[in-house]
Amino acid sequence: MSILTVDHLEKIYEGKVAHKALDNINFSVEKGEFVGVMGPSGSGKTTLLNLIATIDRPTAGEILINGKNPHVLNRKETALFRRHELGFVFQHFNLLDTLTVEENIVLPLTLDGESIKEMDKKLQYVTKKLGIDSILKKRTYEISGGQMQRTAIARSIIHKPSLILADEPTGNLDSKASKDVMETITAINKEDQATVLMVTHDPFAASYCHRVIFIKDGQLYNEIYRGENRQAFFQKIMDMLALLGGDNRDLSTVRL
Amino acid sequence: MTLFSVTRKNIQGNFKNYLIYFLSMIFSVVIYYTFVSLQYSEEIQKSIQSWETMRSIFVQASIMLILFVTVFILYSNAFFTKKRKKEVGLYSLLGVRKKTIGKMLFYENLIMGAIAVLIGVLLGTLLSKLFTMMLLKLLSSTINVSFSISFEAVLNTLIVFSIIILFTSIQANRLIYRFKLIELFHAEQEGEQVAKASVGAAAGSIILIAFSYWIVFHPITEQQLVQLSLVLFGIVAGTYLLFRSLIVYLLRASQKNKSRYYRGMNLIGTTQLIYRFKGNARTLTMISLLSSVTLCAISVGYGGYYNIEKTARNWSPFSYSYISKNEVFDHQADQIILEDKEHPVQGKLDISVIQVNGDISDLEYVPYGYAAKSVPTRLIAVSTYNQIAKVLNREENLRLSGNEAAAIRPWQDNTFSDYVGHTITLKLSEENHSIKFVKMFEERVLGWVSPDIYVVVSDRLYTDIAKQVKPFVYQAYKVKNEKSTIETAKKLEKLLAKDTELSTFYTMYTKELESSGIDIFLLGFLGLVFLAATGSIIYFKQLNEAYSDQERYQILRKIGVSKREVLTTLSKQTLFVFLLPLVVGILHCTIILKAIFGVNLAEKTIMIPIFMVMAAYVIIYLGYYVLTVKSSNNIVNK
Ligand SMILES: Nc1ncnc2c1ncn2[C@@H]1O[C@H](COP(=O)(O)OP(=O)(O)O)[C@@H](O)[C@H]1O
Ligand SMILES: [Mg+2]
Repeated sequence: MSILTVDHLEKIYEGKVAHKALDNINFSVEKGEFVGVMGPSGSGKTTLLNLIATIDRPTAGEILINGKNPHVLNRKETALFRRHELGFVFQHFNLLDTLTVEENIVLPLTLDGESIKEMDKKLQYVTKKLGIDSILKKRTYEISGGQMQRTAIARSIIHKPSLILADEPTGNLDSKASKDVMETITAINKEDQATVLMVTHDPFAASYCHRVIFIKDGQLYNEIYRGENRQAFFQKIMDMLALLGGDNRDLSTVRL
Repeated sequence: MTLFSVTRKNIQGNFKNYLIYFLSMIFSVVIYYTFVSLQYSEEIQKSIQSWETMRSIFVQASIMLILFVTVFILYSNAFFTKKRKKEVGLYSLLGVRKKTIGKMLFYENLIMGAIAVLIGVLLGTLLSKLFTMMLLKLLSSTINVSFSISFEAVLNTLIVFSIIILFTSIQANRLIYRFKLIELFHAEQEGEQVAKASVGAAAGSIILIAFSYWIVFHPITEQQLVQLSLVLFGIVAGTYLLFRSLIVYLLRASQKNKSRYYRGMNLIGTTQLIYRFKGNARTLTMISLLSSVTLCAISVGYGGYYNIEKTARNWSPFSYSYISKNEVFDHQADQIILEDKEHPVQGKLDISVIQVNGDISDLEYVPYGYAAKSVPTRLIAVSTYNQIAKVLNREENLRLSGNEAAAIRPWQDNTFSDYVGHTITLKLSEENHSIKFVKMFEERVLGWVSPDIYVVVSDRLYTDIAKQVKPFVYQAYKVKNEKSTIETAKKLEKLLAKDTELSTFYTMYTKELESSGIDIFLLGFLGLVFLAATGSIIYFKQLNEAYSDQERYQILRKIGVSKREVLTTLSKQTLFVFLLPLVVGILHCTIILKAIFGVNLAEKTIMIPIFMVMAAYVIIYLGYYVLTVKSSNNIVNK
């Protein structure tokens, strides 16, 4: 059963010069799959993720998540849809610094008015799994980057969404923390059959995926499968990136 | 790219911030200049008889304004600066020399200030004409207001604002030296430490406030100044602790209720508030104190103004009354009053009065300049009194028999004593006659005379005494719209001689109007300014918060919080921040009114104007609330 189907997706940014950021994108993600999206900077990865995340609307084409098209929903329904069907992990962690780790994690549940008992049970489960059960009472500025990202992952999976979307989850982490985070995602993918779509420029992170989709200039370029050996997969990804050319790394812009 | 073009781009990019800062400066100049030019206005000096004493009141008020304007400008400057720290950091990062940046910031502020003063003075000139007219109207002066720019007022304004603007410009210049680059980039994270709520401080706030309220009602020392300082200290310190600790403590306690806390947006709302309160304790304290001062000021002013009518009515209960001397005059006066078609007669009475000497030593009150043993006392028959009560719309159906009498409290009796049960002795030529008070009225019935002892006696007693002392008769009229009977009042004054005790409501009313006109004007002016200030300060503050919350709300939106839910929690949080200082302010104000003016809070005539002032204040204040929620929503909910 496919959790995500992207059908003839097109996105044009209107402006002084209209810019076609995505052009005729088709693919689907099966339940329990762990899919990576790679491509040079500016190729449209974030745009794609934003469309799937219902943060932005497509110009043409259709997105089906669990058989439902979120873009035909009204605003309130969209918010609810996002809340129930999707989980997000971002490069900048996007944790609320006003809350403790625990509060950040249970946030999606409080919004749905879940009972305290249920909440506690789920919290115990995910935090044990992600190895962050000892820092629950800490505030976000008191923990490391890896811990922050695992907190963000815990938040994204606690309500058992149909699809977890991750945009550069290792973008702000050192290699040790990256490894931790990728192993965590792999674990929840394996053990809980969570479906994951992850945008990344990091070939090491991508090597954990079952399959990697490459896009270039807004179009599907290629797609490769992992097979048995992660080391070999990593090499294949490196080769593909070399072939793609362009600046693979997103520049960390000075943000004003 | 030259520095100039960078600056220009920045002004364009940060237009809103510049505008807010610029408008606050203009606002301050307008307010100050308007007020000072009133002070120097010749028209006003001419219209106020006791100008010398009034001038010192004006000067005091303008010193308060200087203080206020300084705080206000510094405040909006701080807001503006905070918004620009990152920008300044970027210049530095791009390699612009600190000295150059400093210079740029200095001149920018200076030039903005100079333009603000220019615009402010121009606007102020228009406004001061308006306010002069208002004041003269309150004073019922007929002097025409000309358009003029007062040189002294301009000079005064220039001096005051040069100092303030120079100071802020130097501060702007120092900005780049005061902070490390990294601090400039993290400007928004400042003051975001989690508020710690110590139980001691929380309890301290309650104790301090309760203590100062308590000594308002139970003075602990005779010395007014010590007493007042104690009360003020208690209130100020208590309020600060209230916002700094008590509220945080209570919010923290509310977190313990898990099933409520972990429901919907409560988690977000509560933590946001806790986060905010510590950094805002000083602002909130200032706002609630400002609110209470403003409310007190306007309440007192308006209270006086509101009670003008009541006071005038006590001086002269009837629209016109005089002692009848002969029929010709009575007829002429009657003609004058009837001819005035705009003020139709609602009631006319012949009030028969007997004046005898009385021994009132049993009463607490003794009229000034008289011996209690022998005071001229005026008697009215109870049936006459009931007629009067009917015409004056007082619901009294008084019955007296034998030696029973009813007292009417003299105008100058401030003893608050009850006359009921006391007796006075009327000295008649044949024998002395004791009467006993069984009833007491606070409202007077005839125009004021000195001494002012009116006593209502039974009809029987009245006729008895009338046989010994010849009564005289007041002609009393009650007309419609008596406040505007200027022409008739003037005509009557011309017609009737001095010893007729002519008393017109109009004359009394205008006299009262003049004396409280200046009070209400000054207090109203200051009140308005303070209100605008409190509103604007919270507005700035909340907008500032909204900017630093932007990212948080974006995160929430991403994890599926709807725009409506964001708006709801935003409205609730903002309401909390608005309402709390207001409620505290109103409470303090009530107590301060009691402390300083000994206002009897149960008395209706005082409660009504205070209530009205508070209602008006709350409405305007809520206007600011709506504006703030709207603006913040635009920022975080794009
Ligand atoms: N909001 C936007 N308005 C206009 N153009 C945009 C917008 N967001 C992205 N783009 C453009 O669309 C293209 C794809 O951007 P993006 O999806 O962010 O690429 P990636 O994440 O792969 O680096 C880029 O050329 C970018 O300039
Ligand atoms: Mg991107």
